[in-house]
Amino acid sequence: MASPPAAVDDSGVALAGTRPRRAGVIGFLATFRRQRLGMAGAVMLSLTIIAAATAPWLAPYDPNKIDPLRVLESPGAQHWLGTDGLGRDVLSRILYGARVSLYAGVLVVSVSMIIGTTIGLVAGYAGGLIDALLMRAMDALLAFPGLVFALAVTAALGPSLTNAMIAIAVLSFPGAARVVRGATLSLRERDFITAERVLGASPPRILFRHILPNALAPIIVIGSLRLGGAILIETSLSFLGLGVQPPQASWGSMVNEGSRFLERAPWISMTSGGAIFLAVLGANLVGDAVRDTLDPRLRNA
Amino acid sequence: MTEYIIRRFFMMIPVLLIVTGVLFMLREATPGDPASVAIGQETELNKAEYKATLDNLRAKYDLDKPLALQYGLWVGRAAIGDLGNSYRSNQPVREAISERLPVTLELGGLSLLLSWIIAVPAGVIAARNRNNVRDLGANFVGLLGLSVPNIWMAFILIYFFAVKLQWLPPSGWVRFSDDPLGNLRSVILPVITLGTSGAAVIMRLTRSSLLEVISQDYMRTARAKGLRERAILWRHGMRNALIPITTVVGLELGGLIGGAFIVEQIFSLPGMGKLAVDAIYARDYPIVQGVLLMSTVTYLLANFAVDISYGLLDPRIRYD
Repeated sequence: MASPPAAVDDSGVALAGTRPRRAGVIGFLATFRRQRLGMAGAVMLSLTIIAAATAPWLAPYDPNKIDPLRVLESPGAQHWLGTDGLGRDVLSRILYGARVSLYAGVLVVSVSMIIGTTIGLVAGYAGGLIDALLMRAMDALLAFPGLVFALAVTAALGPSLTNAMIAIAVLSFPGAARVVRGATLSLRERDFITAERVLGASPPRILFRHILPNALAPIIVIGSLRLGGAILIETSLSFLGLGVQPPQASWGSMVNEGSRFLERAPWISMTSGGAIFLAVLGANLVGDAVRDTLDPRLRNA
Repeated sequence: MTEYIIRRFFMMIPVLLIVTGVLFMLREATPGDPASVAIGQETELNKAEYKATLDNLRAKYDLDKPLALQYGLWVGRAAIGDLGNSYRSNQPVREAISERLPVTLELGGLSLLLSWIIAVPAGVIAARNRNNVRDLGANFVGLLGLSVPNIWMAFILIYFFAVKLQWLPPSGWVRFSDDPLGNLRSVILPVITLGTSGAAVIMRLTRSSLLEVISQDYMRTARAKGLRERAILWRHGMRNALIPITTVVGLELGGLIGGAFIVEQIFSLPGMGKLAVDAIYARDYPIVQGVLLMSTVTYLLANFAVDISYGLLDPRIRYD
């Protein structure tokens, strides 16, 4: 007999030689640490987090301080990444911009995971008409092309970071609801849930104490895969002037402001765009690695 | 099959109702009276005149009718192709959109083509060299493509090819009928920006779906009966791997439409995306609503077509 082809499990590089997993956070970290790309992503994401957390101490200048005498100064000893069209320090603005993107990304993903999980749990457990109605509504929300919907919301509610975040959250939770519903459907039939029901546990207790902990892996996976996308949409909206409002520093609006001086001062758009890229790449690498660690079957999710 | 197509078609109706409902409600949520937006700030009318004009406009835009009726009228008219008139220029929305549509279609079509040309061969190479350097490289490049923001990519391209090398124009649009070569030059950078971001997703999916197919028994059988490697790969492998890939192309179209909004803005291409974004700044809601409705319906229809095409790609799929 020929040995079965190597591609039977599509676990990829990351999982090659995975030992039996230990449970809990420590086991997770031990498996995660062996994924080189994931660790590289973790470093990139940590840089963003550090920049966001320590911006007031790290930033050499006040990010909004206008200096008419030092407009469009090229990178040098005084201003490491140069200055922008109003003489503001680009490095300081990038550090402060990390706060906006990270805050928007993390908050949006957490809120949409909570909403999506609740809907998914209820739909999967209740079944029948409630399930059908909720899932059709999710389908309808998924029917909007992503950024287009975000534009519609900011067009209606007015441009602001909060409104942009609402839009991104509405885009993200239907996907989570679907995944959680799927997990709930299969858990619902398991013996330990039946046992709980026989013992007279209330539906909320069954849902949140018994089903939720067992459905946690896909939720974490979906959430970490969504972070990069959420940051991308936030920066796109800010770029269009529909997210963060001036003079507050944000990466998207910096790319836009810099685009006017592309010839004289390319560093403004290049460095702020590079910051977006680094944060999103970091988030995506971490997301991929988290998925490979927790639930390799979701590789195509 | 026919029955399935009909059923799938009717399944779109509740989705359409919710989608139009959301778009309609968003206008309701807009602060300020649309009619006062239409009058504009610069007109100098005294109070009585202002009131009369406002009432006139409110009647004209059906704003004086009950909400449910307004919605019904809007959907009904949209269904027969009447999307209302712009608050600003009074131009019919349908006309404004059809003027801009060719630009977006050209941009989107060429971008989709480019992403296929890059993604499918790259995905096949990655899958065939599973886990070796070439696979890792392709995978990493794919992840890079997924993470590069359109807005950054666009300015890098503009900086090198328009500012430094001066090979291509940094922005603007030349109509194909005016100057075919100029049209091509004005569309190259936008298409690269949009096409590469779509390529990443398709590449990753091509790889994983081909990997799954490669391990099937019929692939071994094909090899055992001595078929040429190319026939095995394309006729037996790719045809089966195509099914999940088609699904993603339908979904990718959403990313493409969204991306076009950004890219048109950056390169000042007079397409639907630019129309909508400019209308958002001008609070010209009929235009915004019209463009969003158009792009959502296009997206829905594309995914409908994708579902139908499953049966053509894979006769084993039964719809019951």
